[in-house]
Amino acid sequence: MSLDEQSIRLALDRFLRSVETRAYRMALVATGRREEALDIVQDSMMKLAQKYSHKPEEEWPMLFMRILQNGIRDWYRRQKVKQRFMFFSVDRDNRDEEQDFGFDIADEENNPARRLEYHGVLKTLVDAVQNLPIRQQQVFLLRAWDGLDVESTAQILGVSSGSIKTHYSRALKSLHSQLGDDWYGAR
Amino acid sequence: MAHDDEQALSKKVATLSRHVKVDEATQQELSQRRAQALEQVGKKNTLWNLGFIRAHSQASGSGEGRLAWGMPAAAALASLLVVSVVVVNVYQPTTAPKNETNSMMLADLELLSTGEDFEFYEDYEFYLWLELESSEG
Repeated sequence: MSLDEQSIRLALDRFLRSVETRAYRMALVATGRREEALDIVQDSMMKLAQKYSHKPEEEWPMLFMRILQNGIRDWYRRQKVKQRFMFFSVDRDNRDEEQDFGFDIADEENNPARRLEYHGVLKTLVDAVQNLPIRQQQVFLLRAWDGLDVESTAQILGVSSGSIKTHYSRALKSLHSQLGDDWYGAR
Repeated sequence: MAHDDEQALSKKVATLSRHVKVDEATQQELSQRRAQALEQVGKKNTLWNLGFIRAHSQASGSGEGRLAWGMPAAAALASLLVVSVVVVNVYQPTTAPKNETNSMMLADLELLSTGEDFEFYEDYEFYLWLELESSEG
């Protein structure tokens, strides 16, 4: 391995470490399945390593997020095709079974009751997000969960800022009506 | 939806996201997969390469891995298709204008034999966009 290649690997390792959890979380909320989410993240990492590792480091975050979002969208499309051919959706049952997908709640006070409560609140939110159309889901996660601004979200998804605002507003409206007022009352 | 509700929802989600972390087992799995991805730096992207690595990495998993073998299988199928097309064309007793047909077939063959994986063609629009971005500086 050349010195150049070695330094690229080190830099890429650092970068992937910094984004993998966030990427996994996003893929998981979209797919609802741990294994599929891990596959999507791994594929995105591989594509970045194979095709774009020679690109300047500052371009990696945008490229990686874009590859990841394309991966999620492709998965979603494949699921839709699959469902069209399946009268009785076994997948949906499996999805429900696998809903406890490897999240932990960080609680500085180590309060089991609070952690349980957070789990409940989180599960309700994830269920509601999964009901959103894919584009709204992506925009919501990037904006609300990851805290990205409108411009960055637009760049990642390859759409206009106006479109991001519209999708985000629709997502919030839909989530608000799905979650109900009780959800806001919980911690 | 009122602006206040919108703000409340965003705030609540942001708070929640700060408390959610990935568990240890998943974190370890992510590390392993990252290490495998890093092996790809400097390697040529081939259909076999991606499919084999994923299938190999998941062989001990929950059975989902078998799906990843689909990629090498698809490569074999594509090769078979190319051979079939050539054989059928050679033995076809037709006097139709062959030049046009042959050039179209050659284009198809060229496409099928580039060694790029199918995902490349699925993401074709994305790569075009990237190319455009690079050329515009």
